[in-house]
Amino acid sequence: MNRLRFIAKRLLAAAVIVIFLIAAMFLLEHMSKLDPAHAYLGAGASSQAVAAERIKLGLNRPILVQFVDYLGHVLTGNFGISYRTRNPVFSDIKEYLPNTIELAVFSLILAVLLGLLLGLASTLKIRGFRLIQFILISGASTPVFLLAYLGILIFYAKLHILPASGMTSYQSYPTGPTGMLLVDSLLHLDFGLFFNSLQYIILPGLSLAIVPALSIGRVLRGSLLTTMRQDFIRTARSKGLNESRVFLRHALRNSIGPALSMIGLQAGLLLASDVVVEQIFSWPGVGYYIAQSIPVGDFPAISGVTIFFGIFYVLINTLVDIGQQLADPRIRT
Amino acid sequence: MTKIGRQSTESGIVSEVVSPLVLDVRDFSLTFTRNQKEIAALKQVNLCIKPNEILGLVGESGSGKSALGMAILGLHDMSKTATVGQILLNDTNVLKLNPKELKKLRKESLGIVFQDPMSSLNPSMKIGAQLLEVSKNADEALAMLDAVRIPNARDRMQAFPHELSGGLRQRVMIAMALLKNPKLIIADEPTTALDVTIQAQILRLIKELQIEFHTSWLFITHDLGVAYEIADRIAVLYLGQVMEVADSNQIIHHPSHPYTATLLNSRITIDADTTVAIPTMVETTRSAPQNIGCTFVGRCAYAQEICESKRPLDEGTEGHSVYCHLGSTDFMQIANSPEKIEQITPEYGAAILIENARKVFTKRIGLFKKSEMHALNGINLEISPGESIAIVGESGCGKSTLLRLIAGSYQLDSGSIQLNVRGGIQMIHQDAGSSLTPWLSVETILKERLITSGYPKHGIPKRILDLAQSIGLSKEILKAKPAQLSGGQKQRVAIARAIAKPPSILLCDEPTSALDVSIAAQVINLLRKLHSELKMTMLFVTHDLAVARLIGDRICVLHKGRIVEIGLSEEIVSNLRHPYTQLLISSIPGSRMSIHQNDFNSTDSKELRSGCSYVTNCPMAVDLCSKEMPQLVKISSQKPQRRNQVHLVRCHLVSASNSLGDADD
Repeated sequence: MNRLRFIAKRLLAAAVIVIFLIAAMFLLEHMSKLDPAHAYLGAGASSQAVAAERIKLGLNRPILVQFVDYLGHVLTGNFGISYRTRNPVFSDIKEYLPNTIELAVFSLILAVLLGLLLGLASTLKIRGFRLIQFILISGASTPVFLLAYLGILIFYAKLHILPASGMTSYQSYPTGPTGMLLVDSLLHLDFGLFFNSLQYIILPGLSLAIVPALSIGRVLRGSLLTTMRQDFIRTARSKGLNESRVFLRHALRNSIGPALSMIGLQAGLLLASDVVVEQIFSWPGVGYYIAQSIPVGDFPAISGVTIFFGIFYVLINTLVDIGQQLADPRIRT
Repeated sequence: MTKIGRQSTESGIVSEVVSPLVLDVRDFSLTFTRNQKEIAALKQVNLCIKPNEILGLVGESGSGKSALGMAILGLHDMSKTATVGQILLNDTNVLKLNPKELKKLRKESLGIVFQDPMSSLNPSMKIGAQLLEVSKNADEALAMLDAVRIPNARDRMQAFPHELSGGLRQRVMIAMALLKNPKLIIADEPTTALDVTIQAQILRLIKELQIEFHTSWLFITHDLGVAYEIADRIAVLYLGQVMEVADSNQIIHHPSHPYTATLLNSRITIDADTTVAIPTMVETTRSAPQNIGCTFVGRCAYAQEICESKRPLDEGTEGHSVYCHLGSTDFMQIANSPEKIEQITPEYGAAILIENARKVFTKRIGLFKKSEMHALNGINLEISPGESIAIVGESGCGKSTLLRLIAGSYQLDSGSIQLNVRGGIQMIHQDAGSSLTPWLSVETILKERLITSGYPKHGIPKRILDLAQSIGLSKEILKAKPAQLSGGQKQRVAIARAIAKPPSILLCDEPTSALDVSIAAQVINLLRKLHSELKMTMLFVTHDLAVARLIGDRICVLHKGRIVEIGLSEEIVSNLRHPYTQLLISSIPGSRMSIHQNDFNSTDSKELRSGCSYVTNCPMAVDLCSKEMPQLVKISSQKPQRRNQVHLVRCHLVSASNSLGDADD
């Protein structure tokens, strides 16, 4: 019961944070020199037309009224019309977002797995962990764009084993229900498409995952080493338990907290790199979309994407909080 | 030799015939390798434990007592440890077992209880699940929780460790150790982290369980008093070498080794002579190379040349081993005459005047809810200049809060604290080590304090030398960094810093509770000497009434944020009236007078009931006690010289028998 209340509280807090984010976006847009009315009508519009458009857009009303209006629109999925594509931003995002979520979640899972592997291998001194460590450290000290290009050079240009751009070589594929190729192909039992798109996601996914993986692995290792020195580990050993049980049942769960926090932090950084990686791999996601929108000052598109990125980040961190509470019963706010 | 089962010991006949030993440690030496250096932790140790016997293993830090416990369990990292000799557990040599056999041995024959019950239980696993790792049978586990007298055992199975109090957690550890029905339980300082009253409960429980389950115990402790309270026999260890092994009574009343005798003399008892310093160990110029000679030679007042070059053998009698070249002598007779400590008379007036002080800690739980913890519930206290007062109580009674309020590091919620002093206030903490900046030398630490307190610059070097001398530290120590100092030395440096510019008020927050017995005695001697020399007003917080009596002109007993008894030290000790003070006195280990008490109380501070705060634990409580908070009343057995020296007690039973008493707050 307590657990459900905790989760409900966390979700409520997440909603509050998202509203603050929307407010911040609204203020930024308001403070910018760009006049939306002017942007819609184009550079050659007459001043009368601009003034009429301002009234039509409601820009002459008090700022608070405008905000409530904006908030209402955003919450009902109305982000306005993109200056660039002339489509509703929401429908643009609806098209691009699943691809980004697919890439982000895939890299995050990859980062967590690699991080766990590194953390466990280096704590337990498993043979070969130095190699994993070496690869991850060199990977993590390379800028993401360079890493991406290196990946393309090696695996695409030289070895010809992985594709370098797009999401799939299939011309037509089933659409829906999620919009994510990997998930949808599985739901339609189209395994050919699944493995094809899996090949396409590996390079961008790895480019995004390596930096967070190293941070997660290091934090996990540090906290595992501290835990292994605790008295309750001695207690577990004095019970005559197997070393693997001591490790998995007693040490790992009590060490996972800091690693979970790190995952939450890294999720944010991952979104930042995502914009770069989508450009390089021509990945049709919102990162690609926002990178096109920023140079032309397409504010509805920018704020729409930012809010969605924000929601994704808040959601990941809420999951991290809940995960921590499940791992450590002492956490009760 | 045949192994001996439980039935045969119970019958009591067979045990006479076959080898009766549960544990037999023979010529056991253990050497650690740390940073390429070899450290001999144990040197030719000989010990044994009979069935159904508690052996107390007593030693100060560095004596190797825990290392022995870990060696019996086979929990040392064998790549860094070298052993010689034998550890026979029921005729099996533990040192010869492979890891798999060791695991089996731990699983079936050995139980363990550690010092800190919080950190020795897995925080993210329910109590029940942790017990079930030992025995798959849930009913057995539940029965064992009942056996260690845990109330509502069935509910506790579903609880997490942090939801239990320290005493209950330690009971869970004991249940876990007993559950596999082991031959031997190794208890490593199981009561050290607990309050005195809880310690008494746990000691009594272990004694009862020993009778009930016929288990042998290796009870490791630094406190001879605790060992005397519980053990059938006591082994005394110093720097890896056994000094003396004998029956508990023999050890306490007729110690035959100089070390045991000095250790006993440095124990602070409730009847210690308050006019003199506590006898402490000497520092001699003698030293023994690492692997020959007696390890105690450096601090033995009776050491001779042979002690440096030859390890002593057992010179004792049957059943009383004494490892000393001097043979067994009753050293209690030849204690050196201790230094007198000058008593100072407090001046008139009030240095500190505390009126109706209240402090509430609030913690937010949820968005709008708050939980309140009443740390202090209206304290009235008048302390004269030059007086020393001991504040006594168990953890959570508000004693440290009171000190911090006086120091100004907390703000009062209501009431007032007036300080009528010219000089400053200084505080000495329990953990001196963490209060010293690790990268500064002792000299720099002292210099910093002198500079910031505006001491004339040219006088500083001389002042530092004087300080070192007055706290009994050599000049070489001044160049050392805190990490190179021992616990006692760190505490002395903290004291030196506090008195660098003599304060008017010195606040001491349990400064000796983390120290070894002999070191604690030195620190207390030092504080008493400084108090009389510098004529400071001193507040000394402790959980130990014996220490309180020695150091305080008056004793003030706190219970859940209220004064329950206050008066001159001698008066409190000889004519105590409050049941709680009675409990504190009888809980002092070593007296063997622990009285019956209710083991459990609902210590929830949130239930601010209208009645007496001690009612749930009081064996003498009457109806009135749970309805109305008693007032402080005067005990008129003697006429004190000062108004603030009257003996006051907060108890309905006393008020009833003492109709002269008038309300004071």
